[in-house]
Amino acid sequence: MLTLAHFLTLGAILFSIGVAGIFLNRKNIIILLMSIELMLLAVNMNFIAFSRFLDNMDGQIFVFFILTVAAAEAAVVDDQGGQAEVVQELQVVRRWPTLPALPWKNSTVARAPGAGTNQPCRSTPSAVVRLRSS
Amino acid sequence: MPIIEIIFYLFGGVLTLSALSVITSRNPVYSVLFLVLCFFSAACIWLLLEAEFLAITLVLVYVGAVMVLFLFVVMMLDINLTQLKAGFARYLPVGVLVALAMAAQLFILVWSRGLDGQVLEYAADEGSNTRLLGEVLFTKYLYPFEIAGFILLVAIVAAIMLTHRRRPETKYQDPSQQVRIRREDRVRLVRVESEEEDR
Repeated sequence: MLTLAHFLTLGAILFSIGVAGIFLNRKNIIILLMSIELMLLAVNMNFIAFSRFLDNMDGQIFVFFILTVAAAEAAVVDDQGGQAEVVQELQVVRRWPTLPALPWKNSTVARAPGAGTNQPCRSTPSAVVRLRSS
Repeated sequence: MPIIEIIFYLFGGVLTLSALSVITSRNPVYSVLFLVLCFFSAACIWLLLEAEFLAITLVLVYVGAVMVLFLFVVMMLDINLTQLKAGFARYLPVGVLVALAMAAQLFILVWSRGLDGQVLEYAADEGSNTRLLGEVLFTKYLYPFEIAGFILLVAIVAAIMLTHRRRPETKYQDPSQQVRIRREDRVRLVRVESEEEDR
């Protein structure tokens, strides 16, 4: 016998997993976003379960809008997330200027200005330009 | 055990396990693929709840568009795996603790309120779910529907603005500078005395 409580329990488990994912993956903005998607999925599951058991379509309308807004948010944040990762990589290059020329496989950052010396490098705009135009 | 319950527990189990894999797998590409599995299982459970339109929408829009976008971003970036997993072990205890506490609270709330009284039953044909949804969406929720469309438009503009890069060799117009031009900067009026015509 399936009851409303079964579906709400499934939603609660999913939501908790999403919260744990946010705690565990702080460094990776993409997985953070995926954890948020998991939490949204849990909320949507609750909405649809209530909509079915209360025999009311409003819950499904809410899910429709949540899906719309989440898709828009994912499109924007993914763009920014991609650029944020690039910036992160650049900052690592800046912090340790003595790293070898190609610190990562297929990295497009050849070498930050001042790399190879022990001077802390000040300017990265040329690296930025090279990275973004490639 | 009736077939409906078997389906629920099967897809619920797949959903939970793949959600756990999303947050624990080392490679972000695997995380995205497990999230796709999550959405498929959730769509199957929504089908059990007779929300057919939303189940199909979840697969088409989410798996077809949003997850492909995630996959693009993850695969285009060259990610250093060991660096990204830094802090995983450090935050593991607090993360698990918070998640378990939250899950326990939700379980107590759900199972103590008598929500397990009504059993899921399937009545005779009630008509199309899509038709019912559309009837509500285009009458009662018409303005929110329009606003949702506007939000999508804003998202398009924002995404283009964020990724648009200006090439230095391309010539382009700057409308703000064009508007700022005043006549005095460009045109010099000279008063010239008219000459007398010789007779």
